[in-house]
Amino acid sequence: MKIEMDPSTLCEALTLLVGYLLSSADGLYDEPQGYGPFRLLDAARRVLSIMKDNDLSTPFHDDLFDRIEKEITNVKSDQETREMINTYILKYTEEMKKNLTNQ
Amino acid sequence: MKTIEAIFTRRSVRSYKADPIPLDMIHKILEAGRASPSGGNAQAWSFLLVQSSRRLAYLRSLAPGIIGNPTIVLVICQDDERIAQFGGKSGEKSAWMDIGCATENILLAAHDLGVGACPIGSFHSAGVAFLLNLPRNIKPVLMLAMGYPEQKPSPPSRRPISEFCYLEDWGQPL
Repeated sequence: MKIEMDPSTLCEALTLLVGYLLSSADGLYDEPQGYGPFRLLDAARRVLSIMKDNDLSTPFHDDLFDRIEKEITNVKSDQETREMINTYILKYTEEMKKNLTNQ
Repeated sequence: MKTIEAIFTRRSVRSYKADPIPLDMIHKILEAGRASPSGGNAQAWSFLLVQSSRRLAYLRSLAPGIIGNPTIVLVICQDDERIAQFGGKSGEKSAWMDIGCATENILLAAHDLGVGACPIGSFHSAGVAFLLNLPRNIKPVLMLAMGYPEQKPSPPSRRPISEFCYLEDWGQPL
């Protein structure tokens, strides 16, 4: 079955993300260890970008996207990247804890 | 811009403005690649320019090394037919060196013209070849993501010359 996709659709954006994840998985067998966390960080950014483009994001998501977007193109050491990822995780946890307590 | 200035101020640019690069500028950049040295003048390279936004999106899905949204991607390929015809036994090795030289020429010319670029080695070769309808003898080796720079990265640290360059005998300081 041929899959007809339109560039504006969520389906196409998610399918391209799947392609990115699969290509990354294959590439990482041969690439330096530090590329793995970086690919996952980029994947998080791509998910947030899709959410933003499809009106699925909240100010929290947009803020997280902006933070990653601002930092991801600057080359960093593995240690600096890890520290950056940890600040994002704490931000995420803070937000999710709010969600949990509001339910 | 003087050549030496171009060499020392070029950076790998990974975030780009959406402004398109004029075609005449792209031609000039390609001419710079064409002018690079080539072992035995084999010129066993082929370039494929991708600039439609939808194709770029599809290409990016197969090229995890492309981080930002470049306005063009130049896929640099080796031409196995030319390698067989002109390259001899070491033809593939020579072709890779030629592609390296052509790439640096392209990077410097782009930088001189105000265009940022980043060489990309992380991509799924077979997937890219299939997506772009490459003939069997044309194999993607490298991509150059290009666009007007959104940010100029600071220079990465480099090993001091004393750590990797010696005079006359190995280990003798320069």
